[in-house]
Amino acid sequence: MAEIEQEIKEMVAKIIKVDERMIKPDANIFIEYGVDSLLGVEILAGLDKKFGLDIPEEKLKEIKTLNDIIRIAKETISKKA
Amino acid sequence: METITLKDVLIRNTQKFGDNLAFQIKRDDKYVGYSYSDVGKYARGLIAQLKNLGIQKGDKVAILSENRPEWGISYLAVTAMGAVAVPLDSLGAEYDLKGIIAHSDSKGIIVSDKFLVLVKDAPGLKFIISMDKDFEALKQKASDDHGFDVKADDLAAIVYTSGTTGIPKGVMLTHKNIMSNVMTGAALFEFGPSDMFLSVLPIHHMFECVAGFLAPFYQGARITYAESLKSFKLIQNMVETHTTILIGVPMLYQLFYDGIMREVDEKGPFFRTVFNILAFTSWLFRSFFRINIGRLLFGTVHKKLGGSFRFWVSGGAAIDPDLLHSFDLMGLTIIQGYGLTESSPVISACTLEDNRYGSVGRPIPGVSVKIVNGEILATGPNIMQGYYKMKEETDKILMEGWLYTGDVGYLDKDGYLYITGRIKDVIISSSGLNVYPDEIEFELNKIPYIKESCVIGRKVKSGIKKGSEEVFAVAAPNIEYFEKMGLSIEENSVHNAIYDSIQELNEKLPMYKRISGMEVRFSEFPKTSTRKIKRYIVRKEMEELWQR
Repeated sequence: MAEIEQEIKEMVAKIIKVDERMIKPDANIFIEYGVDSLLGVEILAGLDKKFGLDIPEEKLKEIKTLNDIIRIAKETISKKA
Repeated sequence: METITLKDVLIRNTQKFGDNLAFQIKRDDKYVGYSYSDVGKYARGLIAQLKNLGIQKGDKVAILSENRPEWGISYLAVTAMGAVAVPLDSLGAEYDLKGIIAHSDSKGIIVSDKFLVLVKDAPGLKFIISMDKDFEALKQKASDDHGFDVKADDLAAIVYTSGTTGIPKGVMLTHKNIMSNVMTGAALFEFGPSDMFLSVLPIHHMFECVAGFLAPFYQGARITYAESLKSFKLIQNMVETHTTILIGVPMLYQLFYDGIMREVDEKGPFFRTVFNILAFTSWLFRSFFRINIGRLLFGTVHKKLGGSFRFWVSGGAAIDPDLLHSFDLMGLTIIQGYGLTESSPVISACTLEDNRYGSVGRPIPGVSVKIVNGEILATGPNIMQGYYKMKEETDKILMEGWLYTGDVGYLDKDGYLYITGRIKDVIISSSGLNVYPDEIEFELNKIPYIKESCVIGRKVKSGIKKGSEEVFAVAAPNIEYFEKMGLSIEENSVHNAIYDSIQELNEKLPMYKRISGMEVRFSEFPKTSTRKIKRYIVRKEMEELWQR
């Protein structure tokens, strides 16, 4: 699971064009890193492409931090399993 | 050019394009289509239903949903019968939506189930029609009745834009206003029944409503409503539907470009070198022979995007000329235009024949532009009638038939328009949506910890949104309130209390209006003699601070 966390972090960093070392897991990505709804959807698209996780766009409302993204990804993986 | 009404378009196209598909959408993994004839039947059924519910000529009917065929049918039915459509922002917060429904005097609403909860108890509504539950039965109700007599100068829609005093302003547009833009756009870009549009941007927005819905419908083209905004799903939709024209905002095209470059990088240094050589070759041909061989050289990229593209259109916000150039080298043309909701919306646009990067094109036929004291003024058949029930606001922007856009720019010797700045303090988000500082300040000043506030746009200096603006708030604390409540007035505590309350406010605001950064100001704001905050001085001070 630690590997997945790292992969998600790398993926998010690439999409929002922020050095992954600068992303704090508990920071509000919409406020601290300027993520907007289109970029938020693109992060969900990244999870879909990389891990096959089809997370509906409505779930974006539950996401504030990198940790939230990781949690939702893990929940979706467990549901799939 | 003779102006026709939206009723004329509905009646003519229902017959003229009969079995051609007008709208389609992917539901349960299958495309569901609505022919022009179907659209006519559903629209006539809806007109009958609205008449039964007591809707008269000039009555307002609100429409709220995600992008879908039923939105288009509702808009056509409401306007064709002689009523007035009030498209609502599906990104809008609940308080915005209810406020607009009340302000617009909407008698009813046509809404999808997804958004029903936000408006079901809105004041003044006499009926709710569900796009999900009530539409199927409408087809059976269709008669030959198309409602009341409609003239080109009749009001067709009231489109709300963000306002400066809490309540958004309702832009009143007639059939003539809207159709002049639809007909000119269709003639300029010569699209027709063989064209396939992919609808991505929110359809309540005038740009998408005219360029992505009414203009293609007018020309008998097919519109596919994107199933998701995820870029790979959009691309999948493009491939499956052989999309020829896409209407988007700069951020969308940036995401496409990043996706292409990521794929190139993932394939390794050799592939990257080949890619660069192809781009250089394309540039050589473009520069010396004025031929674009990008489509030939980058056939793989085109194939991945469906292979049928004619052009993309970008609006809403300024697009980076480098991005336009990079796509151009790949043979992908992006056309840029300029306009406001108040001008239905297009004022100027580049064309396929003369696409000048950095410019927003020449004024479209029928529209005149002049520059007065640096400000862009426009006049023509597309200019609104005014703001609904806001005469004072109307008089500030509409004078002797000229629309004062609030944008600063110039016309070059060939008549091409360039935008260089804004007179107004409006902040344009990366998605091209306007955020008015006064509106955010109005909300901030309701927070008891805040005495007064000043909202400005902060240029994003790095990351994917580089060059766009985000909302930044400077707040002066209400120290008396802190003391009254027995709270610490130590700098950090005050900062934290205000930060937390702004976070709470952000939860209620639509995403594009959210405050991305804040500063607490303990000294008095610089003010005019009438006690208004001098925003430009606050901006200057903050810019100095950000540069440190």
